[in-house]
Amino acid sequence: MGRPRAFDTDQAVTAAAALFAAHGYEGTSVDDLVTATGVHRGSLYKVFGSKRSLHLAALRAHLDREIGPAVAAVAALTDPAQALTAAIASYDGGPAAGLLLLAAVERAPHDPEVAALVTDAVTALEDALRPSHGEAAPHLASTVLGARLRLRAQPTAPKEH
Amino acid sequence: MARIAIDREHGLLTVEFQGLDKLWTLKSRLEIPLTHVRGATHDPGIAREPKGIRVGGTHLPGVITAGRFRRDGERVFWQVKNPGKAIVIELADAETYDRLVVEVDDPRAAVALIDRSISHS
Repeated sequence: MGRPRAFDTDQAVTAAAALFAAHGYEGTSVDDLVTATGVHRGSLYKVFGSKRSLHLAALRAHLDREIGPAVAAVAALTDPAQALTAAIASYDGGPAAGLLLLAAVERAPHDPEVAALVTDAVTALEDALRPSHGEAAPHLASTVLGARLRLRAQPTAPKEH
Repeated sequence: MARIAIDREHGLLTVEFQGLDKLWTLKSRLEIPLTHVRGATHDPGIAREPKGIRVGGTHLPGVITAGRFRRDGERVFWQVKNPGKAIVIELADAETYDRLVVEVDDPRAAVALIDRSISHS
């Protein structure tokens, strides 16, 4: 039924992730998603089912593409200062920088699946800091999250999205 | 206005129409197995899009969209007077409709109710 899917699902998820990271979940309307992905509203619903499912797909992609590699790079460092600097520079970064932080604040209290993904991402950060910081890794992970939050709050030139 | 409820005993999502809306939509009630519900989204913008061809029901553009419509091969059930309160309920292939677009009193609460019900079923 319906027309064949004429769009790249990965591209749509990437565009949605950047939008959610810039405006949050509630701040991103289906109109915004239709415009940014270039995908017809009917096709978006047909493929993803709901805005919530698209947000979950975007968060999972962000974990796979950005947080996974960033954390692996940190885990390879044994020098404590280097590991901490690398984590602060790269964790929850990339084209959808801040998506994890926003999801943790806005969606995790309402959505158990988001909460589980946030827990996975934070646990991965703790594990990555263990070779360099040992027992202090959970504490340092909180420092990284706090530093990312402060970076996001810094005034910058307004981003177009 | 549609009233959304979950019948946990029978695993159903029920959508009831009251008063004149029964007349506009030619339906008083829809029952969908929860396993066929893919998700719900608050989507005020959908009412601005072309509805397609009316198969049954009432369409007074700008006033009310109610009943069965077909667009791009998809079967969509509409019941919307106030687009600001429209929610989209996406259904699995096995259903009579691909999508329901209905107006509810509290979109946030209706969407949360449906999301909760399908992630635990």
